[in-house]
Amino acid sequence: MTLTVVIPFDLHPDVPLGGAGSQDMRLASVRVPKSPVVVAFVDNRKPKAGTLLRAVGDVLVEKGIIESYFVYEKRAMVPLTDVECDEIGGRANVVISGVGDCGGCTACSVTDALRMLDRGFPAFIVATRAFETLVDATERQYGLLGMNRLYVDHPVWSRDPGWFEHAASRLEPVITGVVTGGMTIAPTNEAGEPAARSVFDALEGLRAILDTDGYGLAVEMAGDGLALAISADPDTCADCLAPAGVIAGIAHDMLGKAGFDIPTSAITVNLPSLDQKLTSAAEMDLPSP
Amino acid sequence: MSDFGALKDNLSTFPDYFSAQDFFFQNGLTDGLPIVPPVLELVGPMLAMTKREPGDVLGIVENRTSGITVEQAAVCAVMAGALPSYFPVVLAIWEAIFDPGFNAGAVLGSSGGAAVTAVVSGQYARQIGMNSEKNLFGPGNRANATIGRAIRLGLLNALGYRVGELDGAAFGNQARYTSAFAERTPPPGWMSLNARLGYGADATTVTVAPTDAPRQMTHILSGDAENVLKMLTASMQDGSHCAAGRGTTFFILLGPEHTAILHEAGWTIDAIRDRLSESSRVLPEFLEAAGAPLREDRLPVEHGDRMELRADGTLPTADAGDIFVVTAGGTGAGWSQVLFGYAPRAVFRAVTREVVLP
Repeated sequence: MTLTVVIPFDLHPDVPLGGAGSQDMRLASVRVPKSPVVVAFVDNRKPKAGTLLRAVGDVLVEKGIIESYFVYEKRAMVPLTDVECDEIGGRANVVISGVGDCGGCTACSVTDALRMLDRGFPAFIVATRAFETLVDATERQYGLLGMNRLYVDHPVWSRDPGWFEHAASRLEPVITGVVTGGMTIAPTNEAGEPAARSVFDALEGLRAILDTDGYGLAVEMAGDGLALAISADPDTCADCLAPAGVIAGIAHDMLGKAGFDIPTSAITVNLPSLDQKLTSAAEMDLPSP
Repeated sequence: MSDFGALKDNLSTFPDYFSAQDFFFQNGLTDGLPIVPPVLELVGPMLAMTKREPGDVLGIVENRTSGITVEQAAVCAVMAGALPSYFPVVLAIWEAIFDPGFNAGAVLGSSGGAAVTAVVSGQYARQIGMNSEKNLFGPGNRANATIGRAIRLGLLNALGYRVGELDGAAFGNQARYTSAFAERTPPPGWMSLNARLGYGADATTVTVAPTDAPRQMTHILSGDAENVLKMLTASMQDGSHCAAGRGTTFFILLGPEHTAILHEAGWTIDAIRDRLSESSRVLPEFLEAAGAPLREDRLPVEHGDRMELRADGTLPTADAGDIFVVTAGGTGAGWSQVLFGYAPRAVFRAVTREVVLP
């Protein structure tokens, strides 16, 4: 005998239960940090979290990447309040939240990073690898793309001082990539693996293609879409650059394979300000795929 | 509720009962136990127990986009094996969970593996047959078993609290399958929980908190009230739990024998709460003996909560307002049970909601 049942849950294999699908997620509109860069480390009070965050801050200051940093000590396992977000945003232009090394604290620290990202600040979550899936799930549930990930080995609280210095030196390039690279992200973490799964990482392949021909790529979130700014050295091959529409299509495909459903129409490609290239791009612009 | 039209958008047909069960298992829609297939004939009567529309959202977890609709809650209640008459209690529990003070976004996915425990106080609990007496946490009572299970299935299926998604529980515990019970009628002169919380005599309430699994407290040595209170104090003073020195919420279920001893000795529930709050305070030496010594960097703040040394040098285990004493359980040798809030009091608070009948 057949049985007809009510199943009001999303069973699409790519959509986690209770979470947003990538098509439902907003892209953050993030301001590129301008000098002087001041980083707010949001310390969730987990044991040794402050130690790790301060170590990272010290490296960034020593290398001249940032002007200064401060550590904001918050209540663990309770998200930042609006007042706290305002206070942090009034003093810093980059926010790094952590350390997520348990379920509740990871969820809250991710939420803190996302709330600051939602206010236009480049934001990072620092978490242990044991909680990568929880970071992803919390991001989906918040529904906002653009948060950067900084992962370290689990756990943090039992480590000796040397470990923190080592971890900080591994995380520093990722942060530096954002602070100095026009929202680009260095693609390695402590283990030399992809560190930050984000729209920026998804476009690393495009960056490599452009780099082969002497072009640079900077990615920014702009409103509901992405802005790709392509730069060129004076002696770069003028005929090697594909039209803007083609580049947007390639970006769309790469983002799609990484799970980001961003329509081609929401991807703006700004070509280098060389007359022949602008002309070439305009003449050859192809319809969006 | 106007009609069941929206339900028809979510219908799936299976060749037989067994293939339907397989589908729910294969798609991770169960708690590991078979479910009652949510056929329209069962979901409809569940929805008839509320005036809210099937598509109404019961709540959104703070800072998240996901919540649970009335329809989803009803389907989970059917899957759990609940009767329609239980549904108003289920809805009240959901509303408590979505109170910001409950801090669902943090507590539900914590690696601490909290159970969602609901104390139901009032006449509707008796009316629907909830168990407040023998074996109330054990098997055998449909209302207790399925009301709590309906919540867990909703957390799994609507909110994504499953391993690999939002559930970070390191161990979990059996109470995470279901943890709901009714308050036993207190002896004359003792107010029921709903009355103490300011609700009317006709009201039925749910008081909900994220807790550990229950711990049994044994006291069969004397009929002395002071000894009962000392043993309850000893149960609360567990140096291996974060409550000691920081404070948390407690549900204390006084069994009939202990209730009688305390009642006959003239203790009121408010006095018991005050006493336990005071007597359960701990000295730093206690924490040190438990392997959790106070350090400069843990005082005055630990896990976001203040560890404030009082002038007498003690630290709190529970504020009186966070101790929920109820009469419950069946007759026996002399048992009570203590449920610890799973995390320090700074993280969450117990939330009470009134059960709304259709």
